[in-house]
Amino acid sequence: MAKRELPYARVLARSLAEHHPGNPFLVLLADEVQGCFEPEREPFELLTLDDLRIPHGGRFRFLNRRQPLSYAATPYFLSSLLDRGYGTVVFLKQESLVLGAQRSVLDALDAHSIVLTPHLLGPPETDDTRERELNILLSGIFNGGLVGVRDTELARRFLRWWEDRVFVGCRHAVGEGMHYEQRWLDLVPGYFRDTCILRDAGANIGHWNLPERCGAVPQLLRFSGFDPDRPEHVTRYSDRLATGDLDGLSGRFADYAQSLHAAGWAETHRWPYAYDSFRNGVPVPELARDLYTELGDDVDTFGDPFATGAGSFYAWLNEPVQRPHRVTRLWKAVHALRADLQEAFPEPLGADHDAFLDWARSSGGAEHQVDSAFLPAVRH
Amino acid sequence: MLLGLTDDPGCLRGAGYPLEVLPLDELGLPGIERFLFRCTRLEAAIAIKPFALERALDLGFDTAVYVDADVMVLGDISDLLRSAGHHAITLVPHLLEPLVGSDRVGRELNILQSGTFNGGVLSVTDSDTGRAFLRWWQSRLFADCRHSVEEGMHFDQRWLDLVPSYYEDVHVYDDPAINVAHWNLPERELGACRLFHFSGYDPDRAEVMTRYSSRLSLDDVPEARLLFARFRDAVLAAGWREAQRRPYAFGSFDNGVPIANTARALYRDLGDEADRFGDPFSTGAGSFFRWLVEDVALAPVV
Repeated sequence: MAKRELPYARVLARSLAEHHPGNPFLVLLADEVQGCFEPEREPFELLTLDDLRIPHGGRFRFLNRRQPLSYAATPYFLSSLLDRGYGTVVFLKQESLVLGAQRSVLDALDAHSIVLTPHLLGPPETDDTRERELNILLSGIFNGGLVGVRDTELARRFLRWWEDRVFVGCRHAVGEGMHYEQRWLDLVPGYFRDTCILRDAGANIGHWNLPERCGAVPQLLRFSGFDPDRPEHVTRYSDRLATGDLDGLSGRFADYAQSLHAAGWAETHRWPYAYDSFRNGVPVPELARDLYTELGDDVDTFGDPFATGAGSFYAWLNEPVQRPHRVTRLWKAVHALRADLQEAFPEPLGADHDAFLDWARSSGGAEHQVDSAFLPAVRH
Repeated sequence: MLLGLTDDPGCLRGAGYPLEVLPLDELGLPGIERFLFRCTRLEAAIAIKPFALERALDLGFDTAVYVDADVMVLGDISDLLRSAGHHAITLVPHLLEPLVGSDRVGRELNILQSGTFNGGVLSVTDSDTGRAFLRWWQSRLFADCRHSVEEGMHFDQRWLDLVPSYYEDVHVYDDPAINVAHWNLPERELGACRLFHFSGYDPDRAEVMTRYSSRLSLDDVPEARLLFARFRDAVLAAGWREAQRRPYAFGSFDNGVPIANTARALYRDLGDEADRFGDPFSTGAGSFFRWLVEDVALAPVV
């Protein structure tokens, strides 16, 4: 999680302690504390990305935006917990609530190296069955919010493989077969035969299977996409469900919103995210991450991607594409992205140079949320 | 061995091959003309799989193993057949091991786009689960046997990804000698292969291993050249050239005009509105054909 999501971890820790008293509970911070809270006073042990064995750690932090960074860290987190000597580890995404003992998951891990829970256990029983299935086919058969491993050679091989794939492919690009860390899991039962596909209705209940599971005894309830400030909506990922329609589970959503607020939601939501800005405090433009991704292994020449000195990625973005023109790599990339700009300014390095830069200064910076540090200087 | 044929069975009469054809009108496809019209030739041939499998069970077979037409059995597959009888559903993954090498990510993404399991070899037994699976798959393919990766579809195949979570007793068959094909080469050993799948191979373009990928050539895999030549010879000897000249029975309107795939897609998109046209292959007054060729500009303005 990022630190602004701390209330999730606090609430999850309490619910786990209720059903598994004394069970070790570790939380991964894919962010930096920045003095916002005191980890030793939290009801869990906090690990940071520095505690994991992530090759090219700087690149990893820069390549992924805030939420995908947590997703991509999942296999590294699991490996690190096995390294610490835990024989069996169950990963839970932060927006989860433990409502019963995790019996079925732990039993499955006694017999298997890997445990995965499918989003659906049968064709959906609602009118939109086809759309819901296609949605799952795009996002992944198994839910990435619960992954169990036992420390076996096979589980280690699985984690090394998952780490390798998410390092380059933890994006939302469904046409390419990617959905963050999750779609990779579709390959797991074919690759690693000792995988248990846990078909237990109570093991992992979330918006994707709520219509069929309202009657199940929930062991773990997931609040993926739930906003405690809009507690009447189950999830931002679908407008199909209202919390009022959920029979026995309706009250759980209202309670969860309250618990999050009591755990500091209003305060933590104002906290910064450490990997949003370069070391000089200038926010990283969204487009800069895409450019960095496209460069592939070539980015190694920049060293620390958050640095801003000579030879840095920051300096590269701010360099003119072709001197003496002042259109920089970043603004040339904006131009390449937008057909309307290409029509309005067909020759950004020619006749339309000054007009394009005027646009960048007057509108482009705001439209693309690019800090003034990246805006081309006015010629004196 | 039974053949599911989405074409005129007349061409097979007296051919001397040990094939029993499952008549198309006995497969339980509701509204068969409309189905054959909205599907392209390829889509129709793929979409009848679960219907043909259920028909085989109805005929009294306890276990039905499906193989694609472009498969060749090279050795003893009795283990596959025996195993198939022991599980309600058997599926064969495209890949059994993580890939290595610089193209590992691209190749795995390719599989994620097209489906974890291959639709070319699979089986069901006559059981509640086997039948439930077939009926669900039928309902999906009858409406949607299309190639639309962005929507989560790849003909019949991506739907299969859901099967191990939907049904108990789904067996993932993992013999590396079975269902060897371009997607798991060069990793698999051709010498040990007992069932090869010539997916995307065209006997008229003998140098190209598959039209689906330019990654491998016949020289990249030891023994591939020999095996593909053997298959090509066998297919040519079995009447390939003559078969290529035969028209597709559902390829034209009843006046002989070929049906463009665009027309099929238009018809599909009309949904229930297409009911008013009746038989989509007909060309008389009020037909879909007439509607297609109507001059939009001359239509009376009401």
